[in-house]
Amino acid sequence: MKLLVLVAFVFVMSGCSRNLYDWGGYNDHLYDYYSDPSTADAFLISLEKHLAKIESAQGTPAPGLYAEVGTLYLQKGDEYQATQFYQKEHDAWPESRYFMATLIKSLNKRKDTE
Amino acid sequence: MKDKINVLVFVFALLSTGLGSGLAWAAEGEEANEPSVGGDTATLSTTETLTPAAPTSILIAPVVNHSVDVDAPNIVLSTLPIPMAGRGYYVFPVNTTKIVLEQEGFYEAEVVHQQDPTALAALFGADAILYVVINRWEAQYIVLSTRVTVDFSYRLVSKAGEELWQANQILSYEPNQQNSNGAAGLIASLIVSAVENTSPRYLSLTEKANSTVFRRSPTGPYYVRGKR
Repeated sequence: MKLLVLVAFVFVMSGCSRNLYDWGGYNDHLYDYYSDPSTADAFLISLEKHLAKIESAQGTPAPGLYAEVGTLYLQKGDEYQATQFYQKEHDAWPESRYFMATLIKSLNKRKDTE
Repeated sequence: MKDKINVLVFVFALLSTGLGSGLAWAAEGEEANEPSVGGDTATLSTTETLTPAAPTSILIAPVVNHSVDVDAPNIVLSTLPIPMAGRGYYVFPVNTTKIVLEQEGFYEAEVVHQQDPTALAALFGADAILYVVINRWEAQYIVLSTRVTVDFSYRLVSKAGEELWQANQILSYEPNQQNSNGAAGLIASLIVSAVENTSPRYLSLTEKANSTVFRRSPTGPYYVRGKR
């Protein structure tokens, strides 16, 4: 009987340790960025690197990460990269499509009027 | 009889993973872990009742702050996406959201919280909004130690303006008192409490409050029991 309980326990516990998504330390980096905005570049680099890793492993990117990279690029003035990453978010998450399409459209409009 | 007990123990162990997993939405036609691309239009027979579509995406609004620490709202904001997504929803990127709202003229979280939820949700195409308020975020210096207290209120509101879930969580941390004798012990305790950096303490209390509260929140389409 004790063996049965142990097996059940191991079975249960092995499921609990896995994460739904790999966030690549997003919350820690976001915390650092809010505490010190000068860490924006480090935040961008770490997020982008993490997402490239997810892509090569053909995994699911955590919700919103592509879009956050896009926004960090936008704040650096790189509208091209911003659009690229908003598009990636759009393609990865159906729920993001309305918002991402709005952002991409406004960026394209800005580009056309320049 | 002994075999029956064995089976019961095994079943109990399996079921214990289900405890605290929260409510599951009883939406029609929705399968767990499959992204829903949007509602299907269908004609209803007279025997069917329309259940409100379960939310699949959540907008995390900027955090309202009733404490004197100006850093608190952003710290709390940074802790919310992961547990909320872990409950099985698409979560809108919080930093992007904050910046877009600022561009729309919403610099104050209070003003965002006062907006009509339907209009706010429509800006992003969100199904529901998570509002978090910091009621307390303080460190009390009690003679020889520091007690850190956080107090948060959480509300999940649908794009139709219906409150789906709400919770409140207060947590405190106070280091254990050492029974040291003599002046040297007293001075050591004073030094420790004076130099203790409370930032990591605030963060861990916030994360603990979130995980306690979200365990009882409703789950979304991407929820997988046992995963966060």
